Amino acid sequence: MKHDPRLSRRALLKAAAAASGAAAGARILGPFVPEAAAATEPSHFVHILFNGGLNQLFAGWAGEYVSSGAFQVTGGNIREIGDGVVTDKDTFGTFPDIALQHWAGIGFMRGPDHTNTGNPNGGGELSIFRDDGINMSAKLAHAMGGDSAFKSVYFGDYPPSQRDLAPFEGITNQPIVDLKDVLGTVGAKPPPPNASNRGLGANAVETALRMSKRQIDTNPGRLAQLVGAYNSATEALRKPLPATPPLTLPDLDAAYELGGKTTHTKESAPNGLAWRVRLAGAELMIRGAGSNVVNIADHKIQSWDFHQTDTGTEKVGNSINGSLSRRAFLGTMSFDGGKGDRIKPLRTFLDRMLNLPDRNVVVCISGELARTLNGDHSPGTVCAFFGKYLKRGLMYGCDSQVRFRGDTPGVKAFWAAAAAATKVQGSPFGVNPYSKLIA
Amino acid sequence: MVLNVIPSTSLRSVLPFLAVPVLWVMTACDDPNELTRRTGRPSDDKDGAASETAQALECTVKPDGRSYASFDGTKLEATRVNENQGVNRARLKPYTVLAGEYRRVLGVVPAGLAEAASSFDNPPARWHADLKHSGITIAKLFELSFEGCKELTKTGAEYGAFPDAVNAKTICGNFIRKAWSRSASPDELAECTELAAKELATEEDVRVRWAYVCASVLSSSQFLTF
Repeated sequence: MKHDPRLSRRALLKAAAAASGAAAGARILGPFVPEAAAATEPSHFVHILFNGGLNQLFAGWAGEYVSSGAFQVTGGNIREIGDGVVTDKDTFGTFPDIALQHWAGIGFMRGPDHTNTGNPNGGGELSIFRDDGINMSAKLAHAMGGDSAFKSVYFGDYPPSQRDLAPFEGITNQPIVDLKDVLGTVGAKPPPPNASNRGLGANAVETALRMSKRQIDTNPGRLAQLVGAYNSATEALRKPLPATPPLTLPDLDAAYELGGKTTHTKESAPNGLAWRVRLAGAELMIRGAGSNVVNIADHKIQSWDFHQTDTGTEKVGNSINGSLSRRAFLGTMSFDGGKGDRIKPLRTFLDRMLNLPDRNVVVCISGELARTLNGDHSPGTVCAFFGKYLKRGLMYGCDSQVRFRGDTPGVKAFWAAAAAATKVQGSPFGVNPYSKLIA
Repeated sequence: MVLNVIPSTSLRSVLPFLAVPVLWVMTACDDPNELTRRTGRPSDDKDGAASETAQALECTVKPDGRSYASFDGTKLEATRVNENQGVNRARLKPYTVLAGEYRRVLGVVPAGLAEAASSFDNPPARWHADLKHSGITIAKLFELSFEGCKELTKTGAEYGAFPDAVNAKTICGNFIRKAWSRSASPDELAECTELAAKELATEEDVRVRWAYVCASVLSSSQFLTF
């Protein structure tokens, strides 16, 4: 490898560690983790966001609404999971056993300034992914360490809440569009006979970045993100091809019923198929590329933002968000975006990921706001964390009136929980107030 | 009407001043990035390779503009980005123009491009969002460029000689001029030459070696943006 002081900071630190022999034959965990404290299995954080809000009944708080019947919750359509966790029977209640055993429902305050959704200038989604201007996904990926060439990636960004986030320590959130390209880049499929030599290709791409430096410097607004992209491409090409591909496209196709599809844009894979491709892609990025953080958004704007009430007038009457959300999860709605079963593929994903013997995969399912009884947005939100080391229970959720306690933590606490769940050393996001469940 | 004849002495004194703006424009037009500079800002070093920081991209003179107050009394210009004219103009080319661009530079369109539409970021419909490239996309773009460049370098006497410090400088310069529509700066040329002369030694096929160089140029942001 050509040594050049102008290499990225990340590459320089890796080179220094390799030279000292500290990481010979082992993973490089990043600059802040002493080798003695190295984890024995890699961790991965998958955040599945249902834009427009995940009704809290699905995340584990259905028990709050049985007596009132709010959100169409009845004694007959819920499932008591245990330790206070109660959910919708036909949707989240069908998750695999490992998810049901390790279900940590937590609530946090997103803040009243971000009560709307779908606003790329500061909507609810951004209030979770960006805090004080910091790209939280990238920050978590950085804290998690490891040598993945694609540390923070996302599938689906509609409305845009990932694409314009600033890099953190050189890590950008990278969009993943077509799975077959990923397979080639990470070496999960053999290259075609006329392909370039990966090492020489890496040299050429690295040189391309150096030649681009001046233009990137004078166009930081739109081009700064290219640095992370070039670095990722270079790092991926420098990695040797695995002796045995970690997984193949036929594997994923069979597991997620892709029907040969590998892209997930609305035009190429409508409704439920896009969703399945995204979950398959998340598995590919974890097992094939070792990505630290994977963000998945459902593919249509505000597809879960059901404001409807039983009077037909917004905010007047009782929300019917529960039944509408159930139908959307099961794919029984008639309109575009409401078709396609979300639950079965999610069940497959949770089963495959949580049961991986050599990885700690933590899956968080959330929206950006909880739903009020009249169908409006709450300033707080809830999420359900799943992971093989997590305890089961609920903390800091909302009550039967969708009220959050005054001491409900903020967004940083959510990321502190994610860091704790993924075994990050130290407290890069501050105190984790959910340590009874997530530690 | 009497025409005033301009004394020749006056003409001679004017001509140098006329020539200077022309020379400046020629220099500036040769490198679009030169147009980002205002007078009075820190000047480039003599070879034109700027190392501007974000601060240097800011306005140096407060613009004379109107102030607009919003309904809550806040000034709308308070959140206006302090950015000089001409900076942050580069934008990534969409997939739809790449065929024409490859044809312009290479004379051919890589065969793989036709099936590569799904490899590119596609901002959501009805949202104004700039294109983003991931590492996957960059790797894909490189492979496409490599495929096309092999077609270019499989003929031509100049690609039949192994790269050295001399011919690499010439061929790199030609690649860049063609692809980026401007001349390379000394730094850019040095990087390309280094790649050609020193970093591709394990490629035994000389014409393929030049294809790597060509593909590197086409993978640079100057080709990927407009």
